[in-house]
Amino acid sequence: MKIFIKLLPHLKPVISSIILGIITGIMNQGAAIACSAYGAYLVSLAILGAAPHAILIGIWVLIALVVLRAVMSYAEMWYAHKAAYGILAHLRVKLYRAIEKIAPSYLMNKRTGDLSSTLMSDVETLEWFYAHTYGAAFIAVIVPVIVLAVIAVLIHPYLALVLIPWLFLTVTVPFWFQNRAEVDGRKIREGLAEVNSEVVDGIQGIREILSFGYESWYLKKLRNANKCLSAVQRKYGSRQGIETGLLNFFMSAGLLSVTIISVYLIKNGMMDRQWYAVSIILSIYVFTPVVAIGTMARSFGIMQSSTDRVFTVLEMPETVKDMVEVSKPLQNKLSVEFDHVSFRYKEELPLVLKDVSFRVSPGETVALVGHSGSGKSTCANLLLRFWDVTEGCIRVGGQDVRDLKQVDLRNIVSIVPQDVYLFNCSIKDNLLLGKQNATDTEIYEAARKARIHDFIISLPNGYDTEVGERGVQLSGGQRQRIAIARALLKNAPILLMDEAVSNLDTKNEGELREALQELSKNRITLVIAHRLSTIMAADKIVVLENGTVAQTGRHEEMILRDSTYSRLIRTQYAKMV
Amino acid sequence: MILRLLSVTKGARGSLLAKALIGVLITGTYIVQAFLSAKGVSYAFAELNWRLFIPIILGIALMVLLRANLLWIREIFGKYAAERVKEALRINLFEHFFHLGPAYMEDGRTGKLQSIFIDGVEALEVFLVDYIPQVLVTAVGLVCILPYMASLDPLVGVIVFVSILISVLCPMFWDKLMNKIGHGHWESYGNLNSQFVDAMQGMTTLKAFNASDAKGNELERDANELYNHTMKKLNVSLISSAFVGFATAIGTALSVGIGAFHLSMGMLAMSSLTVILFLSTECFRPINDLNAYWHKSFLGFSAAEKMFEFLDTTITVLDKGNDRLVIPEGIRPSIDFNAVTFSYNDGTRPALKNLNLSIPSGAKIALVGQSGTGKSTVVNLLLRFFDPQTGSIKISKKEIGKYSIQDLRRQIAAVFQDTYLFYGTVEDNIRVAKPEASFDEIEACCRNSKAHGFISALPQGYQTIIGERGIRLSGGERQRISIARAMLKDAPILVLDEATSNVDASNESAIQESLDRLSRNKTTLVIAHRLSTIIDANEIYVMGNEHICEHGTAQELISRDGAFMELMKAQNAGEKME
Repeated sequence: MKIFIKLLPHLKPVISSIILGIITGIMNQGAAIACSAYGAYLVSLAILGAAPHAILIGIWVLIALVVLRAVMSYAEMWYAHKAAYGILAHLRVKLYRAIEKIAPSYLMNKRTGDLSSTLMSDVETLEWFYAHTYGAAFIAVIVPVIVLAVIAVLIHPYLALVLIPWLFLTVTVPFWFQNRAEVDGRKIREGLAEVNSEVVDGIQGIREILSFGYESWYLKKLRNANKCLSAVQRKYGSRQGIETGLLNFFMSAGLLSVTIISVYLIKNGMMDRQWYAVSIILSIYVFTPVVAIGTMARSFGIMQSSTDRVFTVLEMPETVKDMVEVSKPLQNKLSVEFDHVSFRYKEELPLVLKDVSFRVSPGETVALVGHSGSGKSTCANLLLRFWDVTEGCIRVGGQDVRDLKQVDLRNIVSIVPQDVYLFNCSIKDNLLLGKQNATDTEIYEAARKARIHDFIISLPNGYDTEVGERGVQLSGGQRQRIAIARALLKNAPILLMDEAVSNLDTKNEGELREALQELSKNRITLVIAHRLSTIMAADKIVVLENGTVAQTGRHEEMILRDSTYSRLIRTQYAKMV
Repeated sequence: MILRLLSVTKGARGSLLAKALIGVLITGTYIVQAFLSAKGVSYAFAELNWRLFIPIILGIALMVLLRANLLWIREIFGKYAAERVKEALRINLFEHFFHLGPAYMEDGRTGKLQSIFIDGVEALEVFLVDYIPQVLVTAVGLVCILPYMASLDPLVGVIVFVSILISVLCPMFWDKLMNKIGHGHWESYGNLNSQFVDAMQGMTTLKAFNASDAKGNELERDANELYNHTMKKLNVSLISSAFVGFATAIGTALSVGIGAFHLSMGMLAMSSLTVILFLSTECFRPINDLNAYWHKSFLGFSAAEKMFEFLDTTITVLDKGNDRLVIPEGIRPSIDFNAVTFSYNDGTRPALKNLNLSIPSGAKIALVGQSGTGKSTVVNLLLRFFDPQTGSIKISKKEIGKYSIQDLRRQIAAVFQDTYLFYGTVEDNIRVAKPEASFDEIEACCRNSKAHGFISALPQGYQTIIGERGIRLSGGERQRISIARAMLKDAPILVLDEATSNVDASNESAIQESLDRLSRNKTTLVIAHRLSTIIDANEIYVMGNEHICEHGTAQELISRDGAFMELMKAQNAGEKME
């Protein structure tokens, strides 16, 4: 029952709705049972020769009970769902916050479809728990206890006693198959996540699928994922079927036992005939709340695994923790210093950076060069504290980055990434990411500097143009320039650029280069460089090779000697125009 | 909408019918049990004798056992039907999506589609597999019970009939109201999903800009909006449920009460009254189940609406071709764009104006120009991801619309500017181009595209799983895989849209050689950023705003000193060598 314990704390904000749900639920079930039992009682009275007007009064009582029940059943559903959906909204936000803390390291190994199925449908599944299981469990205990007490007092204790084992068996049915339910439940959620991931892949890769005529192969893949899912769902359904059968069996066995005992009691003069019909009807209805929870509990397997999937994310330790309450003060003139930095992404993986040291002094531009896989991007990831170093330290403005809050650190760094990600909103909103309270004038200024303003105003909706998912409606070069405008708008003292090898068309390139040079004038620039012109313009070049610094210096110094750098430049740029 | 949902069950109707029949049998066991119980009550008031009671008890026990088994079998049939319905539905949705093509994704969002394809389909299960058969069960059950009740006591018959009428009709009228009020429900579900997908995929950017917190607040707003929409729609559905619940409860209570009253007036026999006592519950059992399924179909209805809206999206690129495009070995197709005009977003975002372009059989032509001039649009049109508003595009002198789309695309191997890699192994990703390719072929292509080196260095080589979108590879590595893919496809038309833009220069020249070799016996269209790579093209087209501003060989263009020279100068200024 760890699911109860895990999900319990989240009830707190909605506790009043939960309690109201339980109270109205008890009244709903109580009214329903009272109504049926009273009907049976009226029948008995009539058979025993009661006067018509007495029956008429009884009918009014019945009507009152029915009305009460209808109102209560509405109220119960309303409160239970209000609580449940409130918790779901709350959980979704919590999940986002949790993922925020473990990104991007967690996302490297996860598929978006998988994660979003956790956030949407795993959470949605918990509605079963919060709306239909949690309160129902209380009701399933309280209502039968009351009913049994009434039977024992009003009719005969034997009848109550004979019902108890059957009620108990009914409650335990879901536990009999719990292990199987959990295993299958987990497989179902995993299967669903798999189908989700395939679907996201299929949607986002549509251009490739169509142009390679890969449709039928893709559908086959999807069908397979679907088949795996269905196979478990069928197994799960079969188990649920057995449980449904058993639930019904025990419930009916209760009825049978009551029939037999009643006949026995009446025959021996221990019970009045007029109670016979009432006890039969009660023996049916006393099971209603128990069967309701039992029916829900058949789905415990799925609830359990959805809970696990949700909490795996919620409980994932943060990749990078803020280690200080308040950031330590920075020197006025900012510098960036890698001091004997070593790093591995995971403990079992080899080091990707080994004893890397270099310094970017105030106002300097430093170019990181090296073959792909030499550790350039890792340096950028570490500077932004997406990960923390394994050994050594990185200092910004004289302070270890771990002595800064992540928010403060990222406030002083602007980035222009190689793969620009644009959000599915307007160009303006994408730019505002750089500075949330920027004025229009500031935005236009930044866009002008990035040589994208004229293009934007040529669009029918100008800055309000929606860029589509991942900026699909823009070309690669346009996306790149928007990223640059965004960084310009942020205007942070440290600029981190993962230079695109190309994407920028040649004509704007020159202009843009000037803008970037202008931009890097009064700040520190660390650029992962791919172009010779950038490399040559740098104040210092750091050559990385297999995770170590092979060489540092200026282009003119290093190109003349036979060195790692000169070899790199020769192979990389020998054949350029 | 309900009728349309019925049509979705095609292929699983047999199992659904079987499920309904089992349901009828289950109802039957309840009815028999009710009669036996009624008999028991009558005996209790008349003559208490074990000899009379034992057959009743045995009869009920038999019914109980039978029912337990039937319930089990019914669930299995239900899952079986669900499996078939859901699979067919998903495949249908995806096929439609393929027909809509990338054009749909200009405005469409992954998260929205995902929520329709997955959660939407799952949510429909209850309606299709539980509700629909239950309608049949209810109908059969009522046809059997109702007349019998009426024959016992006409007034009770009327009461039951009216209550049933209310409980059946109420949800139907409510459905209309629910559609109006609940309209935003699925919309906000899909919206939240999309926002989330967007936020996940852009999380690195968000964090780098310290904007992840603000995005979180935005998501919180969306989550709350979903909550509000859910509660609003739920409220309507709950009121309907409460009404139906009230109708069935009052029907049961009144028929028992009136029966008792009639008995006290001497208008009804005791044995009839005991039957009414138990049967009045049974009348409403199937309806109560029906009502419960209705409540559970709640999310499904919202989803169905969006699903049908999606299925009704008009396919703009129609596949009307039947002429099979068979190109014999060695004969290379020609391509002609004739006065092509095209705008995106239903003609509101102009991209090409009156474009003329012709690639003779086996030639290599290049398209150069600033970004945003419509170069990639040319590729989109050639692949028929979109159709132009006016003008014609021909391959081998025939309109491309005359070919079947599949055949058309089979003739073209394209390398896109930003390439999409699927979640899966490196090998699988390359195999996309030719599923039946041998491993040697794949490796050869990777050697030619200079991808073999880095692939071999990966932990599991060709079997390494590359994350979603190839997240664990650099831009240049992704491009090299995508070039390998195009090489493997080996189609007579080769389209390279800035194929080597992210590859560093040392690899670029080697890849260029392989591509040159590859294009030797093909018709090739190159969109290039680095002019050095297209100097040898048979013809270079320079694109200015949405049209071709000049074309000719490199020599001609250089001597003309026009737009091409301007580009050359700009590039030389940018990449000046020492």
